[in-house]
Amino acid sequence: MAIALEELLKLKPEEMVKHDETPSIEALREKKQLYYDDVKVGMELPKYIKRYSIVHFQRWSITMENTHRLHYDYPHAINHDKLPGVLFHGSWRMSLIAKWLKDWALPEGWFWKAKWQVREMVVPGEVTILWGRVVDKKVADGIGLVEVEFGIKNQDGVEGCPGSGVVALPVRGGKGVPYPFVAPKV
Amino acid sequence: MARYIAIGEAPGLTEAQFRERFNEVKKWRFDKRSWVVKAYCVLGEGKVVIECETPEKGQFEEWLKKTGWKVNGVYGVNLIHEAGSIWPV
Repeated sequence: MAIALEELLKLKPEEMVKHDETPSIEALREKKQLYYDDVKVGMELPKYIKRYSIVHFQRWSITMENTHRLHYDYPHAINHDKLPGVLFHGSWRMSLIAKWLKDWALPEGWFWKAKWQVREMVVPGEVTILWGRVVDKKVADGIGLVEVEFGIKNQDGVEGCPGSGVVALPVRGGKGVPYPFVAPKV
Repeated sequence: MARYIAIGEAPGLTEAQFRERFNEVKKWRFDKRSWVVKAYCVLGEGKVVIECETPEKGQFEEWLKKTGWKVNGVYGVNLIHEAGSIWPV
């Protein structure tokens, strides 16, 4: 049983990361479908809990060909930009959120849409907790639409990425989620 | 934002105590706009040098009080040399 967010935030950082629920590639390949019928308002999504180092930040900068020095050049970040360290990327948060919601919807569901804000300065060594909770659900055109609120909290519970989104899930015994996805009229 | 440096004394300070002082993010980022950039410790001789970025010198002084270390002076920094680069503050 996954730990609840409120309980997780009571733990020490080194204990928090032990509760990371990021699935392996193999687990995703074999993932059983989550149906709309099984989703309840208030249920939490799997939490992806990480503690990134500056090496991870550099890897993302290289991947994105993002040469902005505040993400990898420590002397420049602290002395020129007056930051507490090199910073976790906004574009990385965006990518993590998209992957996380996609993972949750696999294999027949679809991450439809989401919006969020990038707040707070996250430096290497901080814990990032990608969390989410179902806040509403309804069926439109035979497709199960699940609304979630989510964010990325640090080890102190400070929210750095408040957002919300909609995931389309198949209804058990229903017509399924079309591929490619066609947004239903809501 | 401004950079300050404090020079002080912490007789008997141990490595464990020094680590304890900084082992949580909120301990060194003690305010949304204030953080300890670097801290130097001379074990045995009980000397400490602390570098802090903050808009208010008073916030740094408050943090220093909590350490229990004897602070001989807190100074505003104008220039920093780091790995061949000079950074005006």
